[in-house]
Amino acid sequence: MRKTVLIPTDFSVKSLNLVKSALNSNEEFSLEIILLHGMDLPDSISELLFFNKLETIRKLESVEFQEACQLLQNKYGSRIESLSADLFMGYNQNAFENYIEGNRVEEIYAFADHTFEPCHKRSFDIMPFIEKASINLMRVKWIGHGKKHNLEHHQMSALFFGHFSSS
Amino acid sequence: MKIQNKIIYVLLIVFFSYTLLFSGFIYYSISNYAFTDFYKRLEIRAITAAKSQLDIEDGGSVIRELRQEYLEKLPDENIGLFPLPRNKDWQSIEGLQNFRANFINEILDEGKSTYNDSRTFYYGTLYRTAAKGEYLVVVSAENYFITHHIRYLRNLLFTSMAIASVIIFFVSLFFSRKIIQPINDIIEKVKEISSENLHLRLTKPADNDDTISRLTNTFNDMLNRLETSFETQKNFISNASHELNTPLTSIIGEADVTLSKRRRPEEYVAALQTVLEEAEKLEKKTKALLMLAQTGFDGKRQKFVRLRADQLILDVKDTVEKINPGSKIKLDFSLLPENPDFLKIFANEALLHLALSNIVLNGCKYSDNRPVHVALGVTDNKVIIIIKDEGIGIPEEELKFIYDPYFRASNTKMHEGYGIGLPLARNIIKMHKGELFVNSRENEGTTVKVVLNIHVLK
Repeated sequence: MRKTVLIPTDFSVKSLNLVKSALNSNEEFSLEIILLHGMDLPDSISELLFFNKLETIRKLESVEFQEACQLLQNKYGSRIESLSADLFMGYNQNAFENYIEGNRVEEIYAFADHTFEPCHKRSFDIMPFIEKASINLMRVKWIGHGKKHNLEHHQMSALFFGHFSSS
Repeated sequence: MKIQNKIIYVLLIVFFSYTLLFSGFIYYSISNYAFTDFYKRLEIRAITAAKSQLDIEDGGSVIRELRQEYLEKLPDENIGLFPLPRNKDWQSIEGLQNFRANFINEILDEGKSTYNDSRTFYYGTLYRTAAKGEYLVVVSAENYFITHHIRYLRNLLFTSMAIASVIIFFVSLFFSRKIIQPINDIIEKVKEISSENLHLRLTKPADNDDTISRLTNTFNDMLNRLETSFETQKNFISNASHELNTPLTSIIGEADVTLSKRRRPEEYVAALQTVLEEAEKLEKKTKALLMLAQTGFDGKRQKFVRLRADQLILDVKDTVEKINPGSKIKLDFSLLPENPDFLKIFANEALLHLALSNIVLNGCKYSDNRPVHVALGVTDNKVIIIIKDEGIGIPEEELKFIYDPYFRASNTKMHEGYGIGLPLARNIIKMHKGELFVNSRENEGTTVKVVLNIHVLK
């Protein structure tokens, strides 16, 4: 059976741990996972004219992020129907609800202790929208091992060496 | 320098002989043409003279006029008309003695003849008149072109040949030096490399696929392999010397103390048991070290086989625990792929085992046996192994030196080591066409990421 799940992301490998927890909680389902990132549309005419969502996402994804996605897909195989990133560009709660309804999202997984770090100058935090959303929100606590993993080639270890705990 | 000289000589000879042939050909053709051309002019004069003087008919005056107007007088021109007696005996005729005998004979035989000496050209023909019998017509003149211009042409050709030779000499000198230079560079660099600094590599030339850059790359590959072999041996020696020392010291110490005075039998038994335990530990360690010291060379060539990465990691964990019994290795196989084919890598088992063991042993050693985490994951075309410890870390400024042989970071005073393990591991991973990344924070720990290619069976 299929289910669609939404996971907020800042294109860091650490946020992909939520995919693991989503899969662990949905043993019988195969999941269609949307990694959602909040970003405003550009203001200037020329940027709007040439705005390409796929291009923007591609630029935000680092090589390690893509490798980590491949890793997860290899591990869970058939249980992941699709794993893709998307941008949310709305301004208010209604827009968010429309997005959820349009994509038939059934559950949202997010970190319980979350600090927002913008990865692009137009990024914004979608947690406030998520917390007021009408569908189920599962909070997840991931205890990572060691300190920050922001150095290049270092991010992959954020996928391992940690564990979930009940929050 | 021999090959350089050879190139110069060959080029010189080739170009010189070519230029010689070329100029010779030009000179010969031109003089040949000049001869034939001049003889033709003499022929016209002979015939017109004969016609105008012997055939004194209507056409005679016209011809005389034509001759006067259109045929200029050649320098030193001489036209002789000699009537031929019926018996063809020409020796008696006045004036004909000045000419050569075979010249006249040839005229009589063939109908015309030509010859020349250094300056004057002669043309002779037999002219049959209608009424007066046969006449010998001989025209002679000086060939101005031959006497003056062709000499100038000859001198010109000689000088230009000489200049060309000089130019060719310098060009070939420069050219041969330019070709030989890269090879000379390689020779100079390789002379520096000896068993002490096998770490040197030739500088990779600019990205062109020519033979010289392939030679450089081949040299570098060979040096990689050599260095790996050397370092494997050194690694074994350094490991052996300090790993095997500890059990030996405790055996000797135990035996010494026990023998220092008379003791009860139970004490002897206890001492002997300690000795036995330590000796067994020693044996295990030696076995593990010897296995590591294999260079993966089965006598003829280095054997690459298809391995499973997770099996390799389990073996490495085993080896490390044998060498360092206090080590704590935690494996994280949580993200192993469903399909085990994705875990297969093409590797030399002994060498890769050695590389990974070194990395894990380092992790244990420099974290004083705190837990070392090893994780394995697979992307679409790469196998990723992550080894993370909570040890003393590497100071940031020294991160770029960790691959230098014998380099030890400044914070390693309390730990023994020779600085061989990591360069060796990197060489081995390079030989497997993989990548090695090291990240560290001082006093927090080090993370090593090994990336290898998945081996896909076609």
